[in-house]
Amino acid sequence: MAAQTQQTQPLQDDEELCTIEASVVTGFEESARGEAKEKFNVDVKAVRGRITWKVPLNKVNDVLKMGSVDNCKVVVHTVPCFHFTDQHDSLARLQKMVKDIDWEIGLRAWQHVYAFPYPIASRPDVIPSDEDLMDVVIITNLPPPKDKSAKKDKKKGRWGKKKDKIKELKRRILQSKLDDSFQQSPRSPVNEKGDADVKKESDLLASHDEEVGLTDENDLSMSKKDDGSKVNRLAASRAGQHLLKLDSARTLDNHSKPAPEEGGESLRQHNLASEVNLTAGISDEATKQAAMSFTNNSLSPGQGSSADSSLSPVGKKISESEFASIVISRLTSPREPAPAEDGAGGVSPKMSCVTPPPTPIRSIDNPFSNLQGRLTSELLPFLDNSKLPERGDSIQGSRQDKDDNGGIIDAKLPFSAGTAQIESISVDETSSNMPNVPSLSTLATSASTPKTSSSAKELAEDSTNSRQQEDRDKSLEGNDSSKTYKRAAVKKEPDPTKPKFRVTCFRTGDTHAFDSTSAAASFGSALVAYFGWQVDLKNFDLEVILNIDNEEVTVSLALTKMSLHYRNLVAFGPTTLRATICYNMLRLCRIKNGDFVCDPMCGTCAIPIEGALNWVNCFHFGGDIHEKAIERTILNIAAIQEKQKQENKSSLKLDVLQWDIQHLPLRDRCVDVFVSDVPFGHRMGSRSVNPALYSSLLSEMARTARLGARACLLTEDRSSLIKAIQNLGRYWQRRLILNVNIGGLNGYVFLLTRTNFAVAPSSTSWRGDEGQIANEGQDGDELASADSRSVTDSSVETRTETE
Amino acid sequence: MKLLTHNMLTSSVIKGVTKGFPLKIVASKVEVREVDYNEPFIIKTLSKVDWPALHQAANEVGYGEDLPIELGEDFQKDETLLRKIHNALLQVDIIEGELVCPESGRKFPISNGIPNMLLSEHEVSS
Repeated sequence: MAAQTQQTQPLQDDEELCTIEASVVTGFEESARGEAKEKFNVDVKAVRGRITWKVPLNKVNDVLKMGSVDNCKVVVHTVPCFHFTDQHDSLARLQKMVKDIDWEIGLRAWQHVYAFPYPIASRPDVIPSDEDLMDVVIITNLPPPKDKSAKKDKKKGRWGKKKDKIKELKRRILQSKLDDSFQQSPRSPVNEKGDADVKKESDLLASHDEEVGLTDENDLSMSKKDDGSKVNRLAASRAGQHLLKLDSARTLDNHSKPAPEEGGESLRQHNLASEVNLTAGISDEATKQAAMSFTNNSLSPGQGSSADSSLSPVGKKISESEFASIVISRLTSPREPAPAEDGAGGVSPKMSCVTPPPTPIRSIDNPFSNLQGRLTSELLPFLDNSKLPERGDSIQGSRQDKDDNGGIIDAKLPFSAGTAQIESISVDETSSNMPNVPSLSTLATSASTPKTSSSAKELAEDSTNSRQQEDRDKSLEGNDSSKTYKRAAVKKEPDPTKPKFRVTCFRTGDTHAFDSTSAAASFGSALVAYFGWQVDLKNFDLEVILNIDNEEVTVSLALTKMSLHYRNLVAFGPTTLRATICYNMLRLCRIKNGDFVCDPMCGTCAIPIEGALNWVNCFHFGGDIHEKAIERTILNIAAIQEKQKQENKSSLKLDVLQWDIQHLPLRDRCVDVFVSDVPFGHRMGSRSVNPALYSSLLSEMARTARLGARACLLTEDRSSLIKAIQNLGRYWQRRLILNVNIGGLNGYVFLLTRTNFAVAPSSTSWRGDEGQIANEGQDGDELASADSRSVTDSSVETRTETE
Repeated sequence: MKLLTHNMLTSSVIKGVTKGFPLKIVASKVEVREVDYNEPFIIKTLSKVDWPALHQAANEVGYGEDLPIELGEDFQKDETLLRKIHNALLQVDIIEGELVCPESGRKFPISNGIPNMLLSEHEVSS
């Protein structure tokens, strides 16, 4: 920057502060905070898993040299309370936020770490309007949301799982009951097939008062069709629901006290079958069977097996008509459907924020954008990954063409274009001389278009109507051509003056109406509109991180492409400890200059190496019993010494031995600090030997520990270590236990200090059992006083002995 | 293995051995690696090490000529001496060789700079 004396001159790099957020292994936040405070001399905030503080721009690179943090980023914007509403509004407002963010500091900080050959403008010359920015991108071809219950199940025992099953069944019963009461049923049970079964059902249906909704028109149109099978299906499915309503009461009685395994199973199957019919169109056979099974079930509730057939391909062959009607029926139901996957639909229930929520953004063209948003989220469970075209993935960051809709629902769909598409696609639903389609069904079908384009392929096989096929192909083609067009648009000449970027979104919370992929895609799309940067998910220059934690939104730029814990080692054992964890453990011990630091179970030497690199005025050594560990240690030490040499740095004060901790070949009182990751008993060692192992370890450590020694031990087997410490409480005092996340395991870091109680020297010449040390304890007091003399006398004493 | 480490090692763990310190060094391969000199470290370390053992060990590997038999009172101000001590303690590295117990004669091999101090069953208490 040219030196200017005006007030508008941006601050120099050493004055301008940026906010850095660094991730820390959970449990070590205080330790990392201490390091940041020491190095940067500022206040550091620590929350779970991360620390935040302000750093002048010229010191940004020092952040990456810290030992206790894993990933660093520079925060550019924080919104404490975003007031998330529905999908479209939330995503659109996120996109609008791009304009409001001050990117300057962040970009400058980023450029201190990553040199980009061209200057990156923090503000474009032409600032796009809000409308240009708000081009919401919703990714729909996602795999079904992860079944988190499976993970929870793992932790529960047998009874926990049974309880869950019962809960699940109850919920399904309730839900299907409620669904029935709101479900619309057709007034006209038109049925060309005239099956006896279906007639029976229709009789039942006719006897009920039904609410006639918009579905009627669809049904009418459907009835005009040649293919009556679909009507049959729909009627059957509706009938199924009613039967279910009748049945559920009865089956509930019969299964009031379910032996959860068998009774529950059939009931669940029953419910599943009904749900299947509710939600999906199934092949004729299956539906008929299901319908039959329902009728059968009304007579004999115990038979759940016949429902099996209906369980086959759920969601495989959904036709648009069912789809549309189902969707509409769901929409018009006044309450939300119970299986709320992944934050489907809904405003966040409670807003504890003070600031009033902003006015929600509705797409002007499409007054039903709200519904569309809901549609998408509700459609998610129905959509099957295999059905949708692949190209949905390539959407991120690129603008949506108005005609394009494969895999993505463009919520800004202008009305006319939407209708036009629908006409071409919904041919099989409506006859050619279809009157005005009400807007709601239009919406429904437009929402169903992604399914159409793919299901079109399958239906093309079924359908005999060539016209339909033609039109579907056209729409497919249209999609294809726009697909190629879009690809071409993305693959235009890369502009070297603009950085390549990606957006990564982390989303935590139950109440969001969108998912992280859509948020990332939308945000990226806004960034492209704003800056003109190019998207590259793999070989990116700049990574923008969008962190959504319930109501809090943070935008930051990543400063680390790879976690900082990948350092030092080349050879790894089964339980090698992360460098950042090693660093934090060493920090806990308050190592002073001149200390001797020992890791009696060093494994691949992670801790001594980390110590030797960062605490250079100490001597670090360690030992392990296992041959393989020693081999790997040799490699690691050779590698790190070589690296030091190449960087013209001093060789490390480091040494390793092969020993057995039960018989440490060390003299008494020569170690100041012990730091070790002891075997947990899973991958290394076994739980059964832990108590004995830990006790021998502590006693040998006690013998070889100098006055004022500290020990920092990491284990998962907390109880064994606590017992061992209690056994040797005479020598070791427990100062701190930290709960740390070690690769998902619940680790505990114990900090112990050595008491002044000496281990009797007579017992050190020949290692008896523990009892001997305990017996000798009476002499301990005398020796304790001897020990309290200054340590420099020890050399004098030895000299006198040799004389 | 550095001589500073050797200064801490003892074979007293072996059953029946009363004085296992210091271990005799029989070195077949020795290297000298440069380590940054830090005076406070050396001074503090000297208060912990056993001087005669260090002297003997340094002689055994061939770097003991510069070291006095006794550590005088003013060693802290003698920088040349301190540097020599630094050399002996930290820079000399025994890559291949053996450590021998002074009492029992039991040999502990050193390979790749790492001494193997593992004992067999009969050498330790059962």
